[in-house]
Amino acid sequence: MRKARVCIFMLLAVSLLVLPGCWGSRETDEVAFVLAMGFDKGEKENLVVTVMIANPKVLAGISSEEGGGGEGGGGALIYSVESYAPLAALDLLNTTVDRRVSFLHTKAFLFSEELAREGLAKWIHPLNRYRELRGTSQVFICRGKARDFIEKNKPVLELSPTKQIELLNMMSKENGLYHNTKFSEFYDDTKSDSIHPSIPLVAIHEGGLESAKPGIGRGGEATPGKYIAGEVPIAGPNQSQVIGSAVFKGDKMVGILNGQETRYYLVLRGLFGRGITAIPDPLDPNLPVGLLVSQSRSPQYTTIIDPEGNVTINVDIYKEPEIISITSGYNYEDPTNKELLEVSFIQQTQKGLLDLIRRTQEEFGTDIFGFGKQVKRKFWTVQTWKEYQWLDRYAEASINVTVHSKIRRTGLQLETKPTTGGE
Amino acid sequence: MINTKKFLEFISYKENSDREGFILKETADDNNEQPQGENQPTQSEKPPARKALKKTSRAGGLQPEEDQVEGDPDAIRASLNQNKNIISNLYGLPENKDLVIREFVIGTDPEINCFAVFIDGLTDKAIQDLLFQALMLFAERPLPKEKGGLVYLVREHLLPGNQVAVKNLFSDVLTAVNMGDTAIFLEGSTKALLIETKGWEHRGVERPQSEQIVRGPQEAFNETLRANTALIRKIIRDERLTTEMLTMGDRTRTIVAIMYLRDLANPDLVAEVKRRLDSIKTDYIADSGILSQFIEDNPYNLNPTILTTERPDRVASQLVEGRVAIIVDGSPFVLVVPTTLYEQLHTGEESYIRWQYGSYLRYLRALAFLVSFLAPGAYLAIVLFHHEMIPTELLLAIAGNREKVPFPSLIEVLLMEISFELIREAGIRLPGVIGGTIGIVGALILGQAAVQANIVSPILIILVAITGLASFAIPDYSLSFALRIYRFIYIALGVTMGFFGIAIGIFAQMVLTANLKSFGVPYLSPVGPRTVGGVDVVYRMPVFFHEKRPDYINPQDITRQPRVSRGWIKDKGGGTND
Repeated sequence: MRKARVCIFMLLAVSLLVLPGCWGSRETDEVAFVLAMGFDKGEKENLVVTVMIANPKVLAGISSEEGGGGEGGGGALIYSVESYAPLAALDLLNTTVDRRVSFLHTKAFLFSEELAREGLAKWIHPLNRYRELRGTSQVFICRGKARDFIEKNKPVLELSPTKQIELLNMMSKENGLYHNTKFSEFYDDTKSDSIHPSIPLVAIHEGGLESAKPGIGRGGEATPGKYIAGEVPIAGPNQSQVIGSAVFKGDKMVGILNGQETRYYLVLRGLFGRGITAIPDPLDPNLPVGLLVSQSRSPQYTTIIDPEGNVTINVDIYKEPEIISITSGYNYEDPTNKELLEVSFIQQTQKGLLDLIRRTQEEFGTDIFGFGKQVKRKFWTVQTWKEYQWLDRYAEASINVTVHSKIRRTGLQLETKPTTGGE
Repeated sequence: MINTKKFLEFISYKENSDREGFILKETADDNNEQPQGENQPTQSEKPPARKALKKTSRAGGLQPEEDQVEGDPDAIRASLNQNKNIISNLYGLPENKDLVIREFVIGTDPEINCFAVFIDGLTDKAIQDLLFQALMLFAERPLPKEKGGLVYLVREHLLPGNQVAVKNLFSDVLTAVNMGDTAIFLEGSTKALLIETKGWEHRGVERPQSEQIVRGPQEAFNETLRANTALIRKIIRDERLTTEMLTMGDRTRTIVAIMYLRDLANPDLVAEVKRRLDSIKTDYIADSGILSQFIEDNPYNLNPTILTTERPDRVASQLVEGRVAIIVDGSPFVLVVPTTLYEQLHTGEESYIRWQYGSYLRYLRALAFLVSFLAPGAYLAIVLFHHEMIPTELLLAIAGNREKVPFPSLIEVLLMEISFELIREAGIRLPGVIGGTIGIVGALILGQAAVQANIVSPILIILVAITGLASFAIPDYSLSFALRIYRFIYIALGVTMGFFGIAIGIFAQMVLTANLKSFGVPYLSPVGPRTVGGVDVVYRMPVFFHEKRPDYINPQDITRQPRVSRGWIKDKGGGTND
């Protein structure tokens, strides 16, 4: 009897393990991990899906064949498939890839500009519904074809292509020339009633240095951010570039911001880390003064709604520049001169910010800054807020920007002296 | 069906029956209100008298002996020859060669015929020579008139032995002779003299084998009970340290000693220990390991509920907290009750080094505790179910290294785990010099070869090695066993159900462990149930904060030291050179 009881107990224990066991286990060598996924407009079907599949043998350094796909990108295999929907494309892809294609480690989704201008909702909805998707994946808009970008992007320094995307995420704080948009953020923003989405721009720059724009001495802008992706004059082993933003209205792309505008955008959202910029010298407008600018406090918003429903938003921006170069040789470390520089910087920044806001109001009509989230607080219920139709009325809102700035550091130098000799 | 009903009863909630057994009740929280030492509850009367518990101090004094019971077959006869025949029968002479009967004559006036009985090998020959010398050569006294007083004369005037007892029953004589004493029968006396001549071959006091530490005493118990009690008493030189003895095992007649501090240990606890020991009926108790299996609360749970240690300093530190030590003759491991999981993760070394280092060690050990049973299961859960949980590059590294491995990851893990267990077992069994090296060398060579042959992936070698190291870092041998077995359960759960299974496993293990009791003390105290935390559970506070003894032990005196134990910080005077 006792033996029987023990047997029953063991049987129950084993069936407890076996019956509810999720037999969805997959060995790592049964799965093909997609690291990045690109979407292009197809010729016959709707969509060309390009996937970059990790080749773990190469990444772990045990592959017998050398490289695989040249330096840097050897760890990845690129497939394209033309299909009518992104997830159907996966099944179709599995007719040639012998392992189950998985999104679990997909770090980047790239949409071509062409596709984005037609609207992305129908492509991101199935992805968002799919259980394997990582909400923290980055989304990019690719100028040109996404397939070309995935093929030509060779992060030479990295062993694994995903590291490039992870590093991009961090580097945004260092230069402010692009921002990060997570997949879930983008999806939420396409549905939001208080903000429009925006996505960083990427592109392949085929040429060399010839795309350079005129410098400050020749009437150009004194900022590194005057480019958009695909135009930055860089010659080097990797041709991919990330700079600028794509502006969306709902799920449709409506415009492009360049690097400097992206910086202003980040400043207005309080996400700006730091970045090097230049302003014309107040005493000699043909020469630049280099500044390392950082945002010292998050922006302060004051919103006023009058009985007619007209919105006024006052934004206080706090920025702290640090002098990094004085080309003219004037002693701007001197307190009176410093004030001159501060005033000039404030004027320039204020103008830049207002220009950008005006552009979004008049040209795009999209509130990518999320001002709606500030205005929303003035409404007691969500119904009245929805009725107010903020996104349609954004263009009419009057937005004022006040910049507060103080030069606190002058680099490692306390005084600028003219160079001796010369002339 | 009856079985289903029974099963439903088995798995459904029931009111707690009185199977709880012994509970260590709260003592009145003393703030030294209780007069110490004197008001002992009547613990010494409590135990049933099947095996009389004897106080250690073997009575060398002059107690009046009980009168001989007439016609008792156990009684010693007056005739020397009769006695000799009885002894021969009892020991099965002449086949039994261990027993020696030495006949001699005491050189008194007139001479007395005697014989001595002892077991060859258990006695100290030097002492015996001295005894015989004294009786045969130097005894020249007139005999007393009464024959019954003869033994007392011999004991008080002739025998130079340090412990001499007079007994009139053969059973007493046999017990003593079996322990290595020498019995002397005198012609015409119905009493026998028992002289302490114990002196058998034994190991000396050596370094601990399984509980090595760097700082702190390097002595370990050995197989001799008396040496072991002395090692403890050497640390606690307190007259209130009590050693009670009893014999257990019908065949082995093993002496078991219970040590506790009379004014500290909870009387109920001492009584419970004695009650459990008294009730054991078996023939063979050769080691404390066997005894501990007889007296432990939960024999079916993996976790040990009795602390086993071979370090006298460890036992001493537990005794001064109010616990009870059980020492078994012939076993170099001493049992301490009650104990908790947290104490089984202590070594004593944390107390000898500064508290910061001690706390660091404890946290390290806590980590080792978790790794030792969870790591392989968690690895399998990640690799099989939760690819998204680890960084992409780590996943790709694991995946890449696994590409050439022909087995599923479960087989891979089991292969390595079992090889490691084999190395571990073989390392202990292998003789002498090879044994020490096989552990490291075997693991290295085997691991390296397995990787080169593409049997396992290199990451797995790291995993198994870390798990193995973690289980070696568990100071308690029994607990480390328990965790080694739990590890395989978690491997099964991780493989079938991923982290969901591991979560189920942890929950079940938690409930099962929280259900344990060690001599009336919950095994997870002071965390489950939550009681006064104490300063020495996971982290270790500086020694001057150790003001209270552990609350869950419920000692008679909870105060260890006053609130200000460092008197010198109160008088700010400093040195005298002002």
